[in-house]
Amino acid sequence: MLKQFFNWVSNPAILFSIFIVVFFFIFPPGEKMYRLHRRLKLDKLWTPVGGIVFFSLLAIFFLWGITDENFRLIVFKPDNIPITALLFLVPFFLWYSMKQARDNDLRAEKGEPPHEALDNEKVLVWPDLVYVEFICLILSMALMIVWSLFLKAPLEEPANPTVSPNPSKAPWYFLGLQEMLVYYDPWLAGVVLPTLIIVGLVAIPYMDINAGGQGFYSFRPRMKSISIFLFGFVVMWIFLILVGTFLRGPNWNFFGPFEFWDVNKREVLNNVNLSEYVYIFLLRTGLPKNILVRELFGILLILGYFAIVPGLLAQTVFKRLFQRLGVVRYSFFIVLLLMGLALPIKMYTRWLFNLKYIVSIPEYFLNV
Amino acid sequence: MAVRPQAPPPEERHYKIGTLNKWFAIGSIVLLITIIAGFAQDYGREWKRWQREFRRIDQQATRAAYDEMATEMEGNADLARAREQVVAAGESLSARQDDVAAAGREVDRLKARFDIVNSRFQNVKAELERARYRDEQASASVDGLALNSERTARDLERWEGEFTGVSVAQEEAQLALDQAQAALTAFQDDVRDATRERDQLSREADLLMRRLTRMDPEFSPMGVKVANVIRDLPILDLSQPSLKVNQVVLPDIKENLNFAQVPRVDRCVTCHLGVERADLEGVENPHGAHPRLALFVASDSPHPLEQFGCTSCHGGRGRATDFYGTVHVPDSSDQEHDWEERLRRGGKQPRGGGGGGRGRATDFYGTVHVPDSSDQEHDWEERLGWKEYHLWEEPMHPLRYAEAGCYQCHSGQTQVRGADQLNYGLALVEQAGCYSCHQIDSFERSLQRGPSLRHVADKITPEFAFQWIKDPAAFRAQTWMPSYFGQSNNSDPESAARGDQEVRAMVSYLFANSTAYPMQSIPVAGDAGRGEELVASVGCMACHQSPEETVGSDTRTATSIQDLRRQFGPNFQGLGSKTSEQWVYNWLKDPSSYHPGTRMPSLRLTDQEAADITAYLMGSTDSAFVNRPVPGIDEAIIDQIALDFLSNTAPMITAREQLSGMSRSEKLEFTGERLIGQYGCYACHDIAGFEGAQPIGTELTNIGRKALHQFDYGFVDIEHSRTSWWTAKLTDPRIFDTHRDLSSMLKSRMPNFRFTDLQVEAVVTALAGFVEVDPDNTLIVPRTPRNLRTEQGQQLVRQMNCQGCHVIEDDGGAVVDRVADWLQRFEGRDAADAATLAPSFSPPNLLGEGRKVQTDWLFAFFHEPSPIRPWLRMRMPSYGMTADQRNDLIAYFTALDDADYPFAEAVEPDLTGEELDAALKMFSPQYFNCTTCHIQGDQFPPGTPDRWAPNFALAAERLRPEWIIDWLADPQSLMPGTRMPAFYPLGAPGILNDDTDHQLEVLRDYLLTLADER
Repeated sequence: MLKQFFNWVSNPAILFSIFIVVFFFIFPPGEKMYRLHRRLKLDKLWTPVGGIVFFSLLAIFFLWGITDENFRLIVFKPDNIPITALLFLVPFFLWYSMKQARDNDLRAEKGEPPHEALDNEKVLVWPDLVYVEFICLILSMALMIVWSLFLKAPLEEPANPTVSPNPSKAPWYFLGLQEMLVYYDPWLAGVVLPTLIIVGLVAIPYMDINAGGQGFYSFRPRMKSISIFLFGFVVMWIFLILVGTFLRGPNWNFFGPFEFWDVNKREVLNNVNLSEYVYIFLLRTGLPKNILVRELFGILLILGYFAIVPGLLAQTVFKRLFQRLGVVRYSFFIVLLLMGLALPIKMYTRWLFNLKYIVSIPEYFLNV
Repeated sequence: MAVRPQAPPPEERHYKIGTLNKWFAIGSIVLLITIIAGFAQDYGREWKRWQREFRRIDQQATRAAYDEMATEMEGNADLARAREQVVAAGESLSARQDDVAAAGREVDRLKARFDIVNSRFQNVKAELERARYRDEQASASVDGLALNSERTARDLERWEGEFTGVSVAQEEAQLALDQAQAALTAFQDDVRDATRERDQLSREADLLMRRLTRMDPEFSPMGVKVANVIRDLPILDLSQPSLKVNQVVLPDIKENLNFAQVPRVDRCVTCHLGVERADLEGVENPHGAHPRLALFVASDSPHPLEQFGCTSCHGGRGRATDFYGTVHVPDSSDQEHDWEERLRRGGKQPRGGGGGGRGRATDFYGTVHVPDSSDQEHDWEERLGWKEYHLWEEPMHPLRYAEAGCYQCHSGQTQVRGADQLNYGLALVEQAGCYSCHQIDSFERSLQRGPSLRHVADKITPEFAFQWIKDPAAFRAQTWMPSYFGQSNNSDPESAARGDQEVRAMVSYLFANSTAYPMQSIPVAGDAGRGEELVASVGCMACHQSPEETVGSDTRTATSIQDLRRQFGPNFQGLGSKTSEQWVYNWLKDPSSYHPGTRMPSLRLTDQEAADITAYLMGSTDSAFVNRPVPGIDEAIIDQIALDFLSNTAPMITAREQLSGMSRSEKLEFTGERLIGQYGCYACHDIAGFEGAQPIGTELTNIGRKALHQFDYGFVDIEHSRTSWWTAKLTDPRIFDTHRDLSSMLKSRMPNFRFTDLQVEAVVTALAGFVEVDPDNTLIVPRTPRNLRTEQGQQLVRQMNCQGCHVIEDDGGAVVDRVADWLQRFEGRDAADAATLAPSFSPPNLLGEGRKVQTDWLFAFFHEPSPIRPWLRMRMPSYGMTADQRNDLIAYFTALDDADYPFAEAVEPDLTGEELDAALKMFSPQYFNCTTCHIQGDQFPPGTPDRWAPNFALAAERLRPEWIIDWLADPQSLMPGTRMPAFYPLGAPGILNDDTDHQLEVLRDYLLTLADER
């Protein structure tokens, strides 16, 4: 019963939505949200008690989960052990840094300097640092040996050209990209978007000209930046890796964590292009022959997204930001942001409207 | 001077160095422990355990053998004497100790002298070589180096003179030394001879002892013991360990490893150390010998280990060295549990059986814990070791299907000698006609399985046809007609109603398309009593079962190939209710007039005989079956079926239009035709309108290698292996439709052959063996002309069921039991008598037929058999074989015996008057008295027919002349157990100067002339 509930919740649309909503409550991007965040005492999550409660819940869920065969099968697959570790380690380090950030924020409210300012951070290379590094090295090596003793290298059967594994999964660190392939044409999901991720990461120092909160852990002075970055990292990268590892099964179908991976599972996956929505369902005329006419609405939509939305945002939500960054910087920032947001937008349109492509010109291998 | 060192300034530290030191210590210890654990895991490989265990078994076996040998030698007088002699010789030698010492000293002195002389000799020889070379060089003055040729010539001369001197001295010294040495050894001659004799007698025991000293700590000296321990220590074991991975590399058998064809490497013998040891036969796995060493594994067997390895037959992953990774597959769920208990992966194994670990595990499984859910059961499997290995496409054949491995190389053969279960499976595949619907390359030449339905209306009634198609087993449990209806996926009321209508439609089609079969009327009245005797005696029973045999059994009774031979044709149960008297009569007279492709031969019955048999056969009736109600035609259902088919090929609207344009009978015929196509009836039966239609089943030629993920298990929770899928499918062909919501058109169609579990197992063995032959495999049975001839012949023999009557290749003669039955019932013999006499009244054993008879005669005989043994009631039937088939059979028989084919040397009898007299004498009662048994022309021998032998008049045209001589010389070697007496090598004394070779020739020539007297 409870398992069925979790299987149901694991439906990507539901899980993703919950995740996004909760995310912005926990990492508020703006002042109003932040006040709500404080009023709801969500910042208590970053206290030791909050951390203990959170990780206990996660551990309880996990321990209860492994009583189930299907859950165990996927979680303890030797390939997946690092991802299972990721499930705990990423939240832990996030919690640890946010705990320090919260402490500093509270100190700042009281007018005190941050912890880092009080702490004489001087560390001697010799012997302190080298010694500590050496100890870490020894312990890591011991860990790796123990790991290799207990979990055999997950080698599979000899390659057979007539049999491809089902599901065929990318290496775990690429599962986020593989997930994007579901929603975007390969040239976008495989080439353009990954390039933009790198460009975006490179551009961060040039975009982020906020001097507040630099040099120590803090949240409040840079909540917009942190929120946007973590949204990209946690929701659109880590989360998608977890989804790709644990919830994608044969035929790339979604399976709940307690669901048997049935190769014959059937899903409704009839996807429709925007042009078909417009001409066939709305105007009831049938698709026009001319490609430009056919894709007019899609092209307008995309142009509008990149031409009008930045301006609108600059007048409203990002008014102050626009003033601070200036036109050039703002333009780069907003294009990167809109590109990043394009993924969840497309995911939702897929889930809600079965939208296949906004612009679909298969004649020239151009699909967006 | 001394400067006192200043105290160092207190070092600046951020961390407490003491704590770091502690952490460093902890980390180092942990790392050390993990490294040791790594070593331990790497060193404690599973196979070592088995090798140690094997060593103990080997020690015990060798000790036992040695003890046995030792006891035997205790009682050996020769050995005792030899031992005494050794002692005596030793004593006499020590008595002459002084002489021996003196001789020894003399040898030493001469040896020293020889060494001096010899060294001088070697020097002079070298000088001589150099002088000769320099002289040669001077005379040629090759490099312009002007040497004084006079001086070199002088040098040469001098050295030559010197050499003559030293070589004589050296020879003398050598001779003296040899003599002294001989004198010394002469003292020890006695001792040596005695020792040699003793060693000769105790050689085997010594060999065993030597093995024991090498491996058994109880017998080995300290040095060996220590060495044995040291060589197996970690790291040191890289050079010459006693525990090591053994492997067989098979360059002839390749396997595909990541796109490369690499030689197979089988490391199975790492644990299965005793596979070749005949003395370990019966020892429990993994240590015991392979069964049937004469056939497998042993180096002098047809399948030596070094050439064939293990996985080429058994499957599995040869390169692995642990139980799990080699992909052992349990034979049964019991074994699976056993493995899970005992062979924990990476766990500890009880030593020598019955240890604590196993006992505890047995408790866990057997007595205390019973899993209360399948989840828990799975959990236990996971925890307790063995589990299915998914990552290898060719797992080992479970032991009970092991014979499947034979067929990948022996696939051309209809039978693989010694593989009984596989053979039974292959025979079932043939008998059930699996190849009709499923293409199987090795069954390419097999014939259409069922009778022709082109004249069905003249054979049976539509009502019978309906009941028969619907439930053939209710009429005859043994029939090979499989059941399509009343199966697990079409027994619900709706499907059953549809099924009834489907059968009606098919019957309509068959009867509407049946053409007339012109039948003679029965000219004479038949007598059922005589008919019964005829059926029992003329040979019907070789292929058919009588109603008395089959009545009352409702499952298949066959348990062997021999049983299947007697179920080759349909049994006679209820025949009177099935068809008409007239049809049976006409069928018996000339089967091929009704069904040209039938395998039913003509027995050349007279009208009276045919009428008698008809009268007898019509006596078996089954009115309950034929009187079952036949449902009326339900047009609504017929419409639905028709629409299903129509809409398959056309849009629904068109389909509806087409349907509305059909009359009721058209609809019936249309649906009938489509259903026959859908169910594939035409694959076994000849049906009008289905000429050249393709079979409907999946091809099975390579089914043994079909990838596991291509099997659809539906919602059936069984083990995911090929064999369990096939077992489930053959037991209930519709099982994978369970829980599936399928339209009638999409349901599984494979019919139920009602196999018994034993039969399923045999068919599964055959299926597992159906793999495409790897053309690179050089170890497959070679395609020599002789082998091809044999294979084709075997196929024909199987198709014609020759072995129902004859013994061919040591197999067959299924009818002999029925002959005994006939002797008892109609000839008044008691059971024991009948059993001994039955072979005399049965068709002959065809052992050596190829060597025995002339090919011309055999060719003619197949076409029109003429009686050779007139006392037999059984008749060689007329099969109406084509010339090709007859030639194939002749080629087969001659290939079996390596006889001349197709032409053989002829012998013209040429007897002088004296020889003719001799022949007549030898024939006479005075000598061999041939005609007491043999028929000669129209003269029958005295005595009862069971003592008779073939007619001499046939010899000239039937027998090969060289065979006659061989036969007369030694009949037992050609046909073991024959009643023909052996007259040679004694021969006929006083005839032709006792020249037995001449006698044989004369007898042969005389026999060849006897034909003329006929």
